[in-house]
Amino acid sequence: MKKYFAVLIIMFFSSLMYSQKAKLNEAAPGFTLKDSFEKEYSLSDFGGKIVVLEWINFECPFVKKHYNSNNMQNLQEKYTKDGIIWLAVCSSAKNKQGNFSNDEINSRSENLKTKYLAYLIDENGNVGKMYGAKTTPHMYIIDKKGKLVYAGAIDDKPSTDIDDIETAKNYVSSALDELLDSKNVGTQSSTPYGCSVKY
Amino acid sequence: MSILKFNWISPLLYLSLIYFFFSGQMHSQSKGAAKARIVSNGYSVDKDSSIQIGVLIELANGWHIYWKNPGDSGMPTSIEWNIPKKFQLVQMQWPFPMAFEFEGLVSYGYEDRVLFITDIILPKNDNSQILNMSVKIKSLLCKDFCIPFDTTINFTVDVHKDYTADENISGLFVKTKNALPITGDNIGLSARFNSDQIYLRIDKSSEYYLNSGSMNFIPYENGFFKNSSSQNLVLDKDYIELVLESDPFRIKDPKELYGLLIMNSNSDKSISRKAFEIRIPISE
Repeated sequence: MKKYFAVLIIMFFSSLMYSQKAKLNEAAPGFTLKDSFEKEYSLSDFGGKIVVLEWINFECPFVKKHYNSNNMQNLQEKYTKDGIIWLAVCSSAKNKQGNFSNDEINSRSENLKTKYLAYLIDENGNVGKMYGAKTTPHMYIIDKKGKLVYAGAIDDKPSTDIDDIETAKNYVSSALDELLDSKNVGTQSSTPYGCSVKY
Repeated sequence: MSILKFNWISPLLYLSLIYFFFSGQMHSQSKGAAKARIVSNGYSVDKDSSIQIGVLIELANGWHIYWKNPGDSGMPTSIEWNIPKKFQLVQMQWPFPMAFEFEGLVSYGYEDRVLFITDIILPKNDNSQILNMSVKIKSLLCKDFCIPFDTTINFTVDVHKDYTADENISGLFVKTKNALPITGDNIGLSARFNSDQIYLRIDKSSEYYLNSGSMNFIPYENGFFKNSSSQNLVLDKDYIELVLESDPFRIKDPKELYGLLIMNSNSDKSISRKAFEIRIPISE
C-alpha cells in the first residue's frame, strides 16, 4: 500500500513538472533528459549560459535540408565556440519516424559531424509538449537569465531546398548575435516550418 | 515498408484526355504517392474568350498535401504558372481545406484529390495557335512521414481547336467550384478580443444564426491563433460566438480576423459544408 502511494505521489509531481508551458519572456520550463550516451542533462545545469534547443528528426526532409547542407552544423560550431549550449531534442515516440537506438543516433551524429553538445531523448514527448514543439526543426533560445527569448523557425524560407539557405534570413543566428552583443532579441517569434513532431 | 495502393485513372481515359485537350507535350508528373496533371474544362473556339484549366493533384490513400496556410506543420503548397505574356492568367482559386489533427497539432490541406482552378484569357486578334505553358508545383506530401513533392509540368494547348471535357473532369470542376470559398460580407459578423481569446459573433439578426451547425475559423496567416479543428461554440439566445484561442507565442495581438469561416449545416439527409472568406476588425 505504501509503495502504491509513493508511486502515485511521484506520478503527481512528475505531471506537475511537465504541466508548465513555455512562454516568451518567462522562465523556460525546466527538464531533465538523457542523451544518446545515457548521460543525464538538466536545463538547470546551464544557468548563466545561453541555451539553444533544436527539435530534431533525422528522417525529416526539412532537417535533412539543414544537415546535408552543413547549415545546422556550422551554426552549432560557430555558437558553441562562443560558449552557447546547443541541445538537440528528439520527441519522436517509439516506432515513430525519427526514433532511433542510441547506437544509430551516435552513428548518424558522427557521420553528419554534428556539433551539438547532446542529443536528448524525449520519447514520451513531455518536454516537446511543454515547449509546444510542433515541427522539426523547431528552435528555442533561452537567455543567460533562463528566460525564453525566441521560439520558431530556423529561418524565413519554409522549403526543403538547400539553395534557399543562402538567401534566407536566419532567425536563430540573428537572435544569438544580438544576445552575444547584450542586445534584446529583435524577432522573438516566427512560424516554425517542417515535419510535425512525431509524438 | 508499406506498399501503397492507388487507383489511377484508367490508361484508356488518360490517353483520351491527352487526345482531347492537349497536343503531344508532357503534362503530367507522378511521384509515387502523388500525381499532378493539367486538365481543362472544355473549350469552344467560337464561344470562349478564355480557357478554364486546372492543376489536378491525386494522392494515394493516407497522404495529404497542404493548403496555403499549412497550419502547425508542413509547408504551403505553391503553384507557379508560366504562360506567354500575351495571355492573361486569372488568380488561381484554392478550394477550402480540411483539418488534420494529431496529438493536438492541426494542419490544413487536402487528401484524395484536389483541383486548383484558374482561367487563361486568350489574346484578342491573335493568330497564334499554340499556347505553351509550364506549371511549377512545390509541395510536401505527408502521412506518418513526409516527402517533398516538387515537379514541373509542361503542356501545350492548341487554341484553335475545340475541346470537350470528359464527364469525370467536368464533374470535378463543378464539385471544386462548389467548394470554393464565397464572400462572408453578408453574414453579419463581429469580433472582440478578451484576454487570450477572440470571440467571433453572429448576431440573432443574421440569417446564419439559425442555419449554423458547427463552425470553424481557419486563418490565412499563422502565428496569431492556435490552430484547431474544433473551436468552442457558445450558443446564446441573442447570438452565437466562436471562441478562438490565441497562439501562445504570438508577439502581437491580431487586428483583424482574415481567413475562412467554415460552416457545417445539418439537415435530415446530409451534412453540408460551406466556406466563407471573412475579413473583419477585432475590437477590444
